[in-house]
Amino acid sequence: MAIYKERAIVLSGFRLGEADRVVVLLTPGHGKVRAVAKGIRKTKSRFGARLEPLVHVDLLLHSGKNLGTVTGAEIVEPFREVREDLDRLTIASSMAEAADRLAQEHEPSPMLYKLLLAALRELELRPPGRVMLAGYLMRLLEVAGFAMALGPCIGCGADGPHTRIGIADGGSLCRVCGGQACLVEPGTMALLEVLSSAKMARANELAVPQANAAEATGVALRFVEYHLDRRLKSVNLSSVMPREASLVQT
Amino acid sequence: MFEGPVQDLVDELSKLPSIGGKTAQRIAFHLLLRTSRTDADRLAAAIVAIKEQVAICPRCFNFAAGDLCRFCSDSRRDETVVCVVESPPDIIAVERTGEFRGLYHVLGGAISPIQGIGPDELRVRELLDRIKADGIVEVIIATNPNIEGEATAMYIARLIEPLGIRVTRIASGLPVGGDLEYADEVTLGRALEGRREIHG
Repeated sequence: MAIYKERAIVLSGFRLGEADRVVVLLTPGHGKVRAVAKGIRKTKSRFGARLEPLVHVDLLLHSGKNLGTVTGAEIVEPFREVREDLDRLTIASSMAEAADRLAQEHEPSPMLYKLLLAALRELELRPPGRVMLAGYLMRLLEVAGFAMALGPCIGCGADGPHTRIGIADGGSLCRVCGGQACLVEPGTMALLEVLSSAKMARANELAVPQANAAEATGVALRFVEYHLDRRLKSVNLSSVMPREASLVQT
Repeated sequence: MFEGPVQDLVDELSKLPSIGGKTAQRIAFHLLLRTSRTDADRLAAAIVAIKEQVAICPRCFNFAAGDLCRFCSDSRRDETVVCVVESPPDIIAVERTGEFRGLYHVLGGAISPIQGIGPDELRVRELLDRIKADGIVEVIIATNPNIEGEATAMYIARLIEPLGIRVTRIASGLPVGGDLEYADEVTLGRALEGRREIHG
């Protein structure tokens, strides 16, 4: 078994046996890595909080046939604000889940790693803005090679701006080509264009009407889910959490 | 492959968690060759009994051998304080401390945004109903000190605080008997945050 050092963001984890946990890691050099952290669930585990989801860590790993083994971990950035604030946590969870679904095992993913790290750093500094998740998903699509084409109509090449988006077609469509396509507000189309190239800090500070923000997030999410061919579980949850809380408070 | 009843037992045992074919075979042979008839009867009776007699307490959702669990049916316990835990084994861990004399509420898991487990899959609504009906003055949230447990604690606190009920979270920090130099930043940070005065 080879031993190697790698920096990683912990994406998720699940219980294994009596006291172990399998952690899913996003690394720049080895893509997605699954590794066993032995004894991590015991209160006196040497790992402590080092391998909790959304923590940025330096790791010492043993590669294995199917699963690796974590033999050492040091925290680089704990992202405590993200993990201890429900609103930031739900958004960050959606981001981590999308990265988890797109990353491939043993395939270097430096851009995916950098993007998630930038998003977590932004969420650590400030609470999530209205289009933070949409901004992340748009950039994620670009990094993964599924960027939305938002210029001329992708059907006939007619100049924009257009107000229809074909999810399966891959971008904006004119009125003639996109009869059945998803109709969006002109403001949402402009917002998506801005988000497709905006850095995470810029995406988080954008002040946009709630209707455009919700529509842009919905379109970006449908696009991501179309390419992943599966629903993102945590996104559905993030829409439930605030509503549940406010429902009881009133 | 073995003859009828032996193979049946191996098959049934291997359905249990953490027990593979080899272990199931070893247990089956132990029961066959080294266990007395009396012990085998006792084991079989215990398995049947938990299926026939143990139910879920309708009040706190712990395991119960009667109508209510032994904590909910004990009139000496403080009914105004509820300790919220993820699963029944957590109750045993809290009871072993001997520090808590209130009642419990078992959520049946924890909110996990990453795995898409939401509050609707837990007994959060039942906790709120209990708080409103039973005159509870304090809710102690004793979910695990990991990301799921913290998310659950934050969610419950957000729901309960507006009701004017005191919500507390069990402290987290260094384990007794551990060495400070091996503590991670998050755990040690919390231990420092939660420090308290000592008197000599």
